Amino acid sequence: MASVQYSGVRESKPGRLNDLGTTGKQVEENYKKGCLKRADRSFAQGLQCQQINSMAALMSLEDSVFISHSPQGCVGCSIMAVDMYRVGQAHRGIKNIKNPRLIVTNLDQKSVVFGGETKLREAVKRAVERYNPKLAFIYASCASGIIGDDIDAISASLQSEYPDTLIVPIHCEGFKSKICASGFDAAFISINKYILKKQKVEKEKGLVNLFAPTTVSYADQKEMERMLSLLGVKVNYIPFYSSLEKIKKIPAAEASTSICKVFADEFMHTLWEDYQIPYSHTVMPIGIRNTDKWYRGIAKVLGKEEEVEKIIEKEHERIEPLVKKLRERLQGTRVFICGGTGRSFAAAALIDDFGMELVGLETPTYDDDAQVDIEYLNGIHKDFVVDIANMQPFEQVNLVNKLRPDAFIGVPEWAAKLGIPTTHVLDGKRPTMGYDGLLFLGNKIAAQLQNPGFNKKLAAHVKLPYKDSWYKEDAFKYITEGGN
Amino acid sequence: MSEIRQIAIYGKGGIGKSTTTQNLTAGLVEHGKKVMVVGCDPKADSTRLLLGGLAQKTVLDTIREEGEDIELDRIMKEGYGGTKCVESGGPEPGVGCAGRGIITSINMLENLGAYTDDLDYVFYDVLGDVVCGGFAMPIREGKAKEIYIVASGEMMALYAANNISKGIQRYARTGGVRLGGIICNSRNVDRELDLLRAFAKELGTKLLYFVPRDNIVQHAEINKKTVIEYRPDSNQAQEYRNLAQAVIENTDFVIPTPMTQERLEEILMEYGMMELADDYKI
Repeated sequence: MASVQYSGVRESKPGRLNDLGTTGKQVEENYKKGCLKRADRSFAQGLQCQQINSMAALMSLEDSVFISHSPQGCVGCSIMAVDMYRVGQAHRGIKNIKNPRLIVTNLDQKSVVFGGETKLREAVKRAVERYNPKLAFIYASCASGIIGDDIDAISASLQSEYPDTLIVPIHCEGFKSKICASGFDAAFISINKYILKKQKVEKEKGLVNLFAPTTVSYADQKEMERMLSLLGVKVNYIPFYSSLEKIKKIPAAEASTSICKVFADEFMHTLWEDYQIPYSHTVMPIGIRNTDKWYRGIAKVLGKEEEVEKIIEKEHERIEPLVKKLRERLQGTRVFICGGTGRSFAAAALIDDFGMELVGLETPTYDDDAQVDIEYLNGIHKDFVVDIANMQPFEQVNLVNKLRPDAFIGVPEWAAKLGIPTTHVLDGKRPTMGYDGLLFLGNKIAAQLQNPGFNKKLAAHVKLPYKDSWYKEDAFKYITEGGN
Repeated sequence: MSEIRQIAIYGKGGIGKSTTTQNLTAGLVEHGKKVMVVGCDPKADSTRLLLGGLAQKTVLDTIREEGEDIELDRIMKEGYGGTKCVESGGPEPGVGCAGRGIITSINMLENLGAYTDDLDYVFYDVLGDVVCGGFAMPIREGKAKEIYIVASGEMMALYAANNISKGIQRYARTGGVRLGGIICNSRNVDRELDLLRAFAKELGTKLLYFVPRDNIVQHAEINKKTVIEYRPDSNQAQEYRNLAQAVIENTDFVIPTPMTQERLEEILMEYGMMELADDYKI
């Protein structure tokens, strides 16, 4: 019997949920008992769609063009990926900063009725002839998916016309998933199918695939590369700022690991199944404990358990006195954390380094992996509020306003307007990860706490769009149990 | 000036919706009524008998070739007895979205002012399998208020009619659309009249008219004419005139009560299996 093929939609995995209001203790207990029912929201604010995450994952590939087979509004969200790409180039010392080469087919009413295939052909032709890229990614959209435009067949026929450009269709119809990581999965599924093609390549000794989402800064990349180089390995950093050549090297690696716990976990598993590349799947390297854990994970896969212990000891010697100083500044601070699934849990553990107290945690998805993290957090913190939500600012501001934490660590747009000192953890531009990143992050939090003027002034002059009565309501009022 | 009676005709594919609609239209024309027929089927064969052939360029073909800045007379042709004929058309088979096409072309007709005050009737002849929301467009947003379902005594025709009633029920709750009755286009199956009456009653409506089977319909179709035009003196022409009369006089409009599959099969057993059961031999 053929093995079950992963659809690229994360909801297809059992026990995974996106909508819940609970506490650390409750969620751990209920998940263990199998009593965590799938819920839904009867009201929800905007979510990311699958297409935009597939696009963001790859848009920094320099030798590629990106064709979005969609109405033009669908590429509006690419602005964040464009910003990351531009800043990333500046950090990498590139003088002539470029934009990603993105073309949208502009599906309109007429294309929906008559089919958009002619437009797609034309767009790919123009993109290839204008830029002569090594790779052309075609992104499906909600509209093209509903009318059933055959992007695979078009890719195949254009491929024979343009043999020098690899044409890769990605099935990332926006409505398929509410979990943003599904968008990454769809991109990796196509990379495997159209670029790697399950072909075995010659192994390169000491090569390790290091997967990272766009939100990992260049400083973090360098820190992780530094740590891995101490183990004597060479890093193939994928897919941010990589290239066709680097992607083709993926199967040559001896092992894989990912900076983000969620970003490439499915793909690393596929690499194990299709190319027998072992991988480490632990935590995000934020905070001493998590960095150690992450480091030991990849060292174990490489058979370098002894070496890593020595390095860890040295690193601890170096940074522990500095962390201790930070701890003096941050001890007892009550914190609310909000971030991606990997990052929010990792950051919650980091505050243990600084002796802070976790009062609330917002994370997009709950599953087996999250359960492991929550068990750990319940061991080091008192009970805290858990909001399983992909952003949902209305719930967040309600909770933050009630809990009144001393500091907010995460995506700060809304909490900042409540006058709470905020620190970004999905920064993408500054250090967060590894031993060095921890020091930077700690200093950033401490500095913010000592200088809360900006947030106070902001709160005095900016009002969030919610009525006063909403702040008195139950934050989880719109969560309905037993949904979808 | 009375309001235009906008009528949608639904029913299983191949049941004779287009033939019935056009002959009914011809009957109404003889009564001096002004009628517009809007074909809502990508095959674009809903006005062939009124126009004497597939002489019509569809709304969507015109939009595709000439853009959206078009005149009404490019997409509307005058047919038998002054009827106005429009074909929505659609994409080629297997591409695009025909349902969205129906929405686009009906919007286009409205924008171009096709619904003039002198009209008494507008008929929407809709593709048999109402596969998506687009094919329900004629009964949305207060367009067609009356629906007739064309059926016969065959199992699949009744199954489709019952399904369509579920859709009507949904839209009836939010809009003003009502079922005006069942029109039987006879296939000469056993006890067809009784079966259709029982079926209509179960749906909470009535059998509006029973159109008998007659080969002359086939002859008229080959000659690209309605029966009324082809053989005005024939019995079948009179049947269609009677159907037109029944539509004119009809005032019974209901929200249908669709039945379960089990109940539908019970009715079929009761009326459709009698003789077969008696004659059953090995």
